[in-house]
Amino acid sequence: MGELEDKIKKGIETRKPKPYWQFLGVDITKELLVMAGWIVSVFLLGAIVYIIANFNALPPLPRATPYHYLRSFLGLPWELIVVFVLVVVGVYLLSKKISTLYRKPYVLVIIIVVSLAGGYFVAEASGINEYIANRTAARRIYERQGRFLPGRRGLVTIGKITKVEEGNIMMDDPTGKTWTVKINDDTKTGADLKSGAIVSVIGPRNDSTIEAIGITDEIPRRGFCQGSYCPPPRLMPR
Amino acid sequence: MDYSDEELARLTVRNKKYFDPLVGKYAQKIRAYIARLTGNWPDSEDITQEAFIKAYVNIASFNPKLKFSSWLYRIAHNEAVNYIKKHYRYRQVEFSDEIKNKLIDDSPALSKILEKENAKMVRDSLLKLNPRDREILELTYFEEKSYLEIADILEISVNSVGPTIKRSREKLKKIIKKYG
Repeated sequence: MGELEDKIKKGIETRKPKPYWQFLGVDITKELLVMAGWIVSVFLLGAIVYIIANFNALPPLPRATPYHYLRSFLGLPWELIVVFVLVVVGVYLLSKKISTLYRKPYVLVIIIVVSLAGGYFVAEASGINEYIANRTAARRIYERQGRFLPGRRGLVTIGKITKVEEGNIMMDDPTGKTWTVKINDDTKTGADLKSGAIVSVIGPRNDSTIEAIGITDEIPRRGFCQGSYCPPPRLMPR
Repeated sequence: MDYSDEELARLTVRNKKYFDPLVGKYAQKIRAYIARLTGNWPDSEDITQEAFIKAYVNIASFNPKLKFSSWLYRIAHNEAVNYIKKHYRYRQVEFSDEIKNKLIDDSPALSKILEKENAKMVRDSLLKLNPRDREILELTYFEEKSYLEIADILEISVNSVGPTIKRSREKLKKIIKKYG
């Protein structure tokens, strides 16, 4: 043995290998973190899809084009998107530290995508998304954004205000139909109601009238969609 | 009776003496590898000692799915990278011709290639590469590691090893052309 080998031997002389349980503890912690991160990301994704589906994001879209989906996405609470991305990236990076998963990272990507998609349906089926959305803390976030929870989709009407009267507004939807929007003391208003403004009206419809539960600005001023970052509104016929 | 490296690693948890053959087998190779990565021959001795101490202390965490040599090289690699980060001397330090020849002599595969090429130029150019490109060429040509072993040492995907080697080789060629 040479000098180097002797030096190494001397170096380990007084040391002992760490016991296996210590590494086992670290591995289990990593795996639990991945599992917890995965569960959190599933529910976050569920919340994102739930908002798009139920909080006057998707229903007012006159046409399902990438442009409209982009606007819906940009209108989501930015905290939600940031936390979701961080959690998914964290899960991905941490998973690569488990065993030899780094050898085939695409397998990991497939597992994450499939799990999230599957997990979302589990979250929806269990009703947890709806439950969370109706909790006070979640409602505050939505209301801060000018969102209302009118119920399931189909209750939102988008249109351009043509006339403002006492207790009523008149508006034309993208198909050209004129609606009379009835406003009362309980109507939540998150938009400047003036002639020419494009608004989303939430509330049940009868023939040509809408009992407004809430009226929001059609130009989302929430999430990433603020000021110049927000694509301009476009009314397109269905 | 002959034991494989992996068996010796497992037995080391119970008895220190099983680590000796591993030290004997890998100490010089690991030192040459660290020296080539860090560009510092004198300090490579301490880094090598530190790498072996870490390997010994953490031997219970050795993953039997890996080859022992890959696991040991990964530890050595991390130690070398830490040293580089600490000292920022990666590209500034030049080997003397004597050291360069010693390092080359430790790697028969590359020395054969270098005999055919302009050896000094290739060696000098290799030292001018950035750490990431250099380490993958070191592992491929000096250490003659397989793609799977390189993936395990650098903790990257097996599929990305080939393209990375190709890119690093292109960069090496450019440097050779520039200085040649």
